[in-house]
Amino acid sequence: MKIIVPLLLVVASLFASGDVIAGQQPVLREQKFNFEQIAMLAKSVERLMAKHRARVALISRVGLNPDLLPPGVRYSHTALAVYSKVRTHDGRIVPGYAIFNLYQGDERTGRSRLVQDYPLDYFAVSQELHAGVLIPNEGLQNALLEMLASDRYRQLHNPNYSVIANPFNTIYQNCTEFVLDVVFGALYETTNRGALKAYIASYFEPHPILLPPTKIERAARVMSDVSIDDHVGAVATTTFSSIVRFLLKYQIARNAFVVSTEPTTLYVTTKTWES
Amino acid sequence: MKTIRQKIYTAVICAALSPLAMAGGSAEASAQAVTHSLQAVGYSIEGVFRLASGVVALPLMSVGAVGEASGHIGEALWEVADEQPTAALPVTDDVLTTAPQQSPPDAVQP
Repeated sequence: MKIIVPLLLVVASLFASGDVIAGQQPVLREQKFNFEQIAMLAKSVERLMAKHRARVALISRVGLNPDLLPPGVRYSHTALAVYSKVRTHDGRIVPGYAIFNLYQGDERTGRSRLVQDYPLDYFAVSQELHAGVLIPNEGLQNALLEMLASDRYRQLHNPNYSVIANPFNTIYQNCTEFVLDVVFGALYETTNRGALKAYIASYFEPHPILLPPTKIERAARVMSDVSIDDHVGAVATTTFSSIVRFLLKYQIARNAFVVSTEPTTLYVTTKTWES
Repeated sequence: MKTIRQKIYTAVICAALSPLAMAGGSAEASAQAVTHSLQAVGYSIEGVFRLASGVVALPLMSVGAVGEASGHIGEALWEVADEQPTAALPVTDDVLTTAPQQSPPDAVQP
């Protein structure tokens, strides 16, 4: 078990607030965009998924300063978007997408929880107005819906959180690995974690974290949401891009896109995913 | 309260470790708080986009697609736009959020 030292608390609070000395250090996250910009991105993603008749899709956001992401990591958070009927505060029933997330929360305690929100909430912390969208094929969508409609979805949640969790074992989990586990659980109709991890190890290729080992070890010592005791040798973790590669490779996905909103004109573009 | 020395020290550590801080995902913010602040600065409701608080969301699926699972979710099932299998699924024009909505009279209550 990690020893929480006062320094860690200070570091955590700094990360959470982005309160690094202005002008000297890059800020982890700030409120970069206004309501209209975020709403345009959120609504565009919704409409794209609806246009493709997606009942379930995987979506990702750039929720943290992209300059601070490890090499090759384009998105910071992944979740499931589910076509739903939504009851509004004024009693209407409307169709739209609900987002099913695993969040650690700003406290960065190394513990996570499952949270359902909506595209506006999901993209509100965007640091770039881009979104990754993957639409599974019909079979996987149906399997995911069955999982979401049952307790099996929650059974796959492991609250022990690490930002660089190893997807090949069950020691830690992060948002993106949770989505990966749900996808494999749906594909193989199982919540047996040992079996799931065996399937994942057989077919899935995680993203290597190309940082000096000393830096990774130092981070694991002082940050409660960074752990390396689940890794043997090189550190690799689940990213949205690595999930997309897996699903496209095995033709379990119908298509994948990048949706972008131009911040000034609010002009929206959609590009087919390029690995 | 943090001293200047503490701030500098922790800033240096943050700079050194920051790529790890976000490698796999979600030291995720409360988007609700951001949504609240967006509303607070006046980007609210009657512009191009209209906000609506989502109270409950239930997945939509066609009965045929879910087999035995349909028994578990009962009335959550909807047959959606199956008459027009190539048309886009209908989506509300509202911008849904988890943030609670307050009517003007409610907002001025203490």
